[in-house]
Amino acid sequence: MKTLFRYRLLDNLKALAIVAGALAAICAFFSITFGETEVNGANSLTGAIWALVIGIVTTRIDLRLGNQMGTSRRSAFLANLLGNLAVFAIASVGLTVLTALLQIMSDGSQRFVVTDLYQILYSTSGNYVMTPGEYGMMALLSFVLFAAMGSFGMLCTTAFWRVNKVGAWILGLSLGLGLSVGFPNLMYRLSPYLIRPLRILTTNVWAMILFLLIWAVVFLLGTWLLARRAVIKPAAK
Amino acid sequence: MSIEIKNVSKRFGETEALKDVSMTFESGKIYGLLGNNGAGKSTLMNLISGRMFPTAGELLVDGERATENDRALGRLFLMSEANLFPEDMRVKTAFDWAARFYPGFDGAEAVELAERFDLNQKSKINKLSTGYGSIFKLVLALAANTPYLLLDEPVLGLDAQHREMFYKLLLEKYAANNCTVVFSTHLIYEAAYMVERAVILRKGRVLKDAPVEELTAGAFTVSGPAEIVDAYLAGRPVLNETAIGGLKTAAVEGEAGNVPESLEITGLNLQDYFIALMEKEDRV
Amino acid sequence: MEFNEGKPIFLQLAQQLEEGILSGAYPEEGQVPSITEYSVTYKINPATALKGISLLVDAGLLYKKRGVGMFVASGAREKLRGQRRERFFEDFVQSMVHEARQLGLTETELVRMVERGFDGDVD
Repeated sequence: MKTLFRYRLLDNLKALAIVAGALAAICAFFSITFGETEVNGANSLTGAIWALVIGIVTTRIDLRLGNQMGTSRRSAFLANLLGNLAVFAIASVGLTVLTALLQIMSDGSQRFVVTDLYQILYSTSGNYVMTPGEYGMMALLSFVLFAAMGSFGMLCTTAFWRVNKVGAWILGLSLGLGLSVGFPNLMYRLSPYLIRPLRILTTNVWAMILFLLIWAVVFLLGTWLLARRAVIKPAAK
Repeated sequence: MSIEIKNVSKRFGETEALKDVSMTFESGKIYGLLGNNGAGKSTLMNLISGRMFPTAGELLVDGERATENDRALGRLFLMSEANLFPEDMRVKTAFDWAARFYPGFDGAEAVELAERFDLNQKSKINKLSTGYGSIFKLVLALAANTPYLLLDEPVLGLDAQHREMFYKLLLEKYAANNCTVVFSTHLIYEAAYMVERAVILRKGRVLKDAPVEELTAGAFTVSGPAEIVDAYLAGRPVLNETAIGGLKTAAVEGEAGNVPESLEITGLNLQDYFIALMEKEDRV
Repeated sequence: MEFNEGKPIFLQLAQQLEEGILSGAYPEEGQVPSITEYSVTYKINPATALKGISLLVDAGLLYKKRGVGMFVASGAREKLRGQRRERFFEDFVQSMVHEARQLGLTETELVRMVERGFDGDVD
C-alpha cells in the first residue's frame, strides 16, 4: 500500500504543479496585459474543480495498477484516498500562502486584487489582508472543500464503473436532471426550512467545515461500498 | 505451498464460465492450462489474481484466502492481455515502479530482457503493438521473481523467434527459482514438452488434470485398412476417426493391446491428443 | 536432438544420450550438458530431463560430480554395446521380420538381403 500511496502522491503533485502553473500564468498574463486584475475565488472555484477531477480520474487508475502489482482493493483504495488527501492538504496550504503573499504585495494597489470565498463569507476583520488566524481557517476550509469534491469525484467514477451501459445512461441522466431540475425545485420547496441552516452555514465557518466533512465521509463510504466488489478490467479502448 | 482451487464457480449473468472446478497447482511445477476459447482459462486466472470474485468456492494461495489479501497477491504475478497500466506510463517507468512493488523484482534483468527483445523502454505502454505489449508484460513477469507466475496466453502476437526466446527464458527462470508456473496457450504443440502437468478445461469444467506423460501415454493412433481398423476399434474408447480412400486412422484412448499385423500404432503428441479429445467431447 | 510422439520424452532423451556415448560424441570421463541446459535447449521440462538422465545414472552410464555436473562413466561405451547387443534381436530383427512378412519375403530371400547388406559395407 505504501508504494501505491507514493505513486499516487507523486502523480497528484505533478497534476497540481501543472494546474497551479497554468493559473499563475493566466493571472500574470491578465495583470500584465490589462493592468487591472481581480482574482476571485482561485481557491474555491479552480481548486474545487481540480479536486473533483482528481477524484474522478485517480481511483480507477489506482485500483487497476494496484491489482497488477499485487495490491488488494482495500489497500489500493486507502492508498488512493490518502494520496489524494495529502495533495489536497498541500494544495490548500499552498494556495492560502500564495494568496496571503499576493494580498500583502498588492495591498492598496488597484492593479491586482485577490480574494476568495472564505474572505467574502467569513472574514470578520474587514481588511484586505487578513489575520494569520483567518488564513489558517481559509486553508482548513479549502482542505475540506477539496476533500468533499474529491470524494464526490471518487464516488462518481466508481458508480459509473460498477454499472453497465444502460445503467450508466440512467445514472448520468438522473445526475444531470437531479442537479439541474430536481435540486433547485427541492430547494425552492424546502426554502422556508432552509433559511436558518443556510444562514448558519454562510456565517459560521465551522458549520460549513462540518457540513463539507460529513459529505466527504458519506461520499467515501459510498465509494468503498462500490469499490470493494468491483471487477478489475482494463479501460475500454 | 500451492494454489488451491476448491469448488469454484463463476457466473456472468446467464453464462456459467466455471462450474464447480477444483484443482491444485503444486509448488515448483510447470502447469499447462489448456482449453478452447471460452473454456474458462482466463476466468480462472483472473479469479486467482483477484480481478474478480468467484460466485462460489474458495481460492487459496499457500493456505490463505487469496481474495483481497495483499500477502497472497504479492506472491503472484498475472500476465494477461488486459492492460491495467495508467494511460501515459512508459515501459521504463513501469519497471521502476514494479521494483518498488515487488521486493524480488530485478530491475537490471528487466532492462536486459527488454533489450534482448528489442523493446523500446521509452514507449508508452498503451501504444505498444499486441506483440510488444505481450513482450512488455512477459519481461515484467520474468523479472518479478515471484513464487507464482500466471501467464495467460503469454505468446500472443509474438513472432516465432521471440516465442522461442521466451520459452527458453521461462525454463531458465524456472530452473533458477523453481517457481510455480501456470500458463495457458493455444500453441499446445510448442509448449507440450515444457509442461509437466496439463489441466484441460472445457465449457467451464475440468476435463483432465494429469501429468502430460500420462495423457499422451494413455492414448495412441491406429491406422491401416479401414475394415481391419473398424474391427479393432470395436468396444474401444475412440476419440476421433479419419478415413481416406480405403485407409483409416483413429485416435484411441487406453492401451493398444494385441494389434493385428496390418495395423500401425503410433503415439500421440499433446496437441493431437487435445484435438482428438475435444472432437470426442463434441460428439457427446 | 529431435523428439517425436513415439515414446515418452525422457526415454527418447535417454536413448539419444546413449547414442551420443556410443558414437563417442560424449567421450568417457567427459561432461554432458546439465539438466537445465537440456531443458532450455530442447524446450523440455527439467523434470523430464532429470528422469532421462537418472535412467542412465541408474544404469551406471553416467555419474554425478558434486558441484560440477554429470559425467560419462568409464567403460560406459562397452557396457552400452553389451546392452544393445542383447536388445538387438527385439529392436531390429523382430521388426525386420514383421516387415518382410508384410511384403511376402521368404526367409531365404531375407537372409540373402542381409548378406548383401554386409557386402555393401565393405567400401
